[in-house]
Amino acid sequence: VSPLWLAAWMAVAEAEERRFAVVFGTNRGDASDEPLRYADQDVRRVGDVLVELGGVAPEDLVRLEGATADDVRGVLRRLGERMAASTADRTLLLVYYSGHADALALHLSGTRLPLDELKRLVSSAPADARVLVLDACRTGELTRTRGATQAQPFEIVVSDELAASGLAILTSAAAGEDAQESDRLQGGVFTHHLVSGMRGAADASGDARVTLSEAYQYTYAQTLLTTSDAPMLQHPSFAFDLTGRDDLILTRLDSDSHAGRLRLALEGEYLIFDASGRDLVAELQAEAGTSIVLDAAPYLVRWRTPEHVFEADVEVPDGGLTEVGPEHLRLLPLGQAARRGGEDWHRPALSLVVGGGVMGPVREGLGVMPVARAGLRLDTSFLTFQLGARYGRDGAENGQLTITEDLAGAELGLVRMADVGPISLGAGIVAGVDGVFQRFETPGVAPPRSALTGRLGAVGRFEGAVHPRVSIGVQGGVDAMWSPGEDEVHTEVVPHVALDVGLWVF
Amino acid sequence: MWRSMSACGCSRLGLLLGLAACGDPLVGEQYLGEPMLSFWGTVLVSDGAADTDADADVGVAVVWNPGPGGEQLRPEEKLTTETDFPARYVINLLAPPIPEVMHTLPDGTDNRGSIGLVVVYRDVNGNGRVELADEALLGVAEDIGVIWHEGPEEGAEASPTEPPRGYGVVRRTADQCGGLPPERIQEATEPVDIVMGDICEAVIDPDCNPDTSEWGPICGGGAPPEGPPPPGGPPP
Repeated sequence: VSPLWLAAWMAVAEAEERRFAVVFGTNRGDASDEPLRYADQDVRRVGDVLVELGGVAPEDLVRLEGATADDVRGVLRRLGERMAASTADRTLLLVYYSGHADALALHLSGTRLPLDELKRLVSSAPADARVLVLDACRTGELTRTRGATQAQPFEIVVSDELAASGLAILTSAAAGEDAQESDRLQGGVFTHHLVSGMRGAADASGDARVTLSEAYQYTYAQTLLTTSDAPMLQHPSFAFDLTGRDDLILTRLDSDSHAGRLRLALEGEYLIFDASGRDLVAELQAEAGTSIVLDAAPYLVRWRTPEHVFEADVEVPDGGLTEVGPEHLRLLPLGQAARRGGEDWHRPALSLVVGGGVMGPVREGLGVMPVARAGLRLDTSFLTFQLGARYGRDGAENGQLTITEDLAGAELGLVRMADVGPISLGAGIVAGVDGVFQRFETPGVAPPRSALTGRLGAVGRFEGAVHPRVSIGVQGGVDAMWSPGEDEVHTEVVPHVALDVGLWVF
Repeated sequence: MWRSMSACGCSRLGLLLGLAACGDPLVGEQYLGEPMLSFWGTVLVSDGAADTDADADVGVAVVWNPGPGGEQLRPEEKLTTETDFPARYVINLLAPPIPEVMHTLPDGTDNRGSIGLVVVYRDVNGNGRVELADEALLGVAEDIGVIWHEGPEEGAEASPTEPPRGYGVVRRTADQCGGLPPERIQEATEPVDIVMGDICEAVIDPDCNPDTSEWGPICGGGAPPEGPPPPGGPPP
């Protein structure tokens, strides 16, 4: 191994190297392809990280959204001419694609670019090294092409070095697999983790440099994890030419860019959102002390353990370092954690709930009924299930007799909750069955009555957590309540409201 | 999923829960209880009865004979009535008479109870109740009355000759003191036609004791006449 080569590649952002990149993609493939949603977004994300951390000057980056095959051919030809004219000691070409493909060709807005042609175009580019990254269905076929070897992912270690003059190919899925998009990640699964890795999550060595091998290993592991409960597993694959021995540094985390570093003091799984908590910026499995590079901005950092979810609001300063440690993380109430932990966290929260309130009369004139309630509640990522019992008593006196009415019943509620900071709001439906028992005091004749009633209604809920395990909520709504009448089933509209206290048991 | 549940699923669930409604009919605050006596029929007007305007706000009621020592007829308050004058009526008695109108029945036994008259009145204030001081009686059922038998006290052995506790409709005789005991004719299974005659007087001393009996006009309001009743009981 030439020490000169090694030194050259370990200093990727130094003046003698110039990096060129083409990032292209399209949501629209062939007519028979289901349109993608995030391919163009993936293109933007990869382009951004290459400029910010990958040593690619903005003028040397070409982005193509909604690309066609001719667009790609033309761009690669023109970029080849620029590379050939470059006076830099070394040149690197990075080509990234997000979109549809099959075993033979990329599907580009109704046109096709054969994979062999793409590989030939990249291989023949006048660069010292070339990296081709494909996040597309079925692109794993390319890693089986002549001259390349499909690597076993975890057998690739840093010592497996890329040839300085060679070609490396990363694909998002193995042969026969479909690459997948995620609405939660708002992007391709592979690209999402690749970008997170390039921003620092993949820096296993902690040297503030993310090499191609590190990026691949991280992306492979995270993609596999994310798709582990999807209908199909997705195994990214990696192949490289064997003529050289250097490992390529993809990104430098200490690059001089308009970004800051976020250091994650605790080992574990992190989700990093924008300040609103809506857009997922990065998702990573971090070692203790992992740093990632983010645009200077405020963020919401969510740290997950198998049992709990913690959050911290952080500000990443331009060129600075922000640390997130135990003292910054606040434990989320368990009910909120079940919803905010993420779809892949799948940890519901069970709570005991007791409370009391009032409900309208089952029959006209009987007055407001005080009601005691108790039950169980299960918060999941999508719905909150309420299983409860209630008991109430009311009465009336009309001069002729005194009516005493008891009500006891069970109910099942399905509520969709949304969290706004420490407050949770919800809406849903409740169905239940009650036994109603009426007794009378009269000098005349009035036998007691008992009936079974059914009810179905809409509810709204307002809830606040006073402790990670304790919530106080108000739930109200309106039910249609069906009970036997003299001649036919009687329908009564019954409003109700109750205050309750919930204790999460896990 | 949410949208489809709210549309089709909820309607089906509502139908299912509606089918779950079963058992006794539930009642509201207006419920007064089950009638202890319910009778209905047609009001017939005989010669001499007060004019009953078909458009008048007319009601039917039961007034209780106060018994020995009593001074005023006592309207029954715990009842419901329906009238579709000038012909049809329904009376539901919902509770026993008040203790103040209980007395020993004039049937030669020690049986206690109350005897009531069915009256037709002009409901001046429209409250559905007869108020004898203010509202004019238009007539009295001339041969029909209501009787309440107190029955034996709880735990006491019932006499074989004593009617069971409860209400009945009785046929009044013209000479009540001679014709008692009244004949119990109805157990709320047949219509009871009321002949509203010109007998706007009623005995208010059911023990037929000449020393204590008093007569009084009950139609048209006003104070009862002074003095003892004529010998031989009420006029035929």
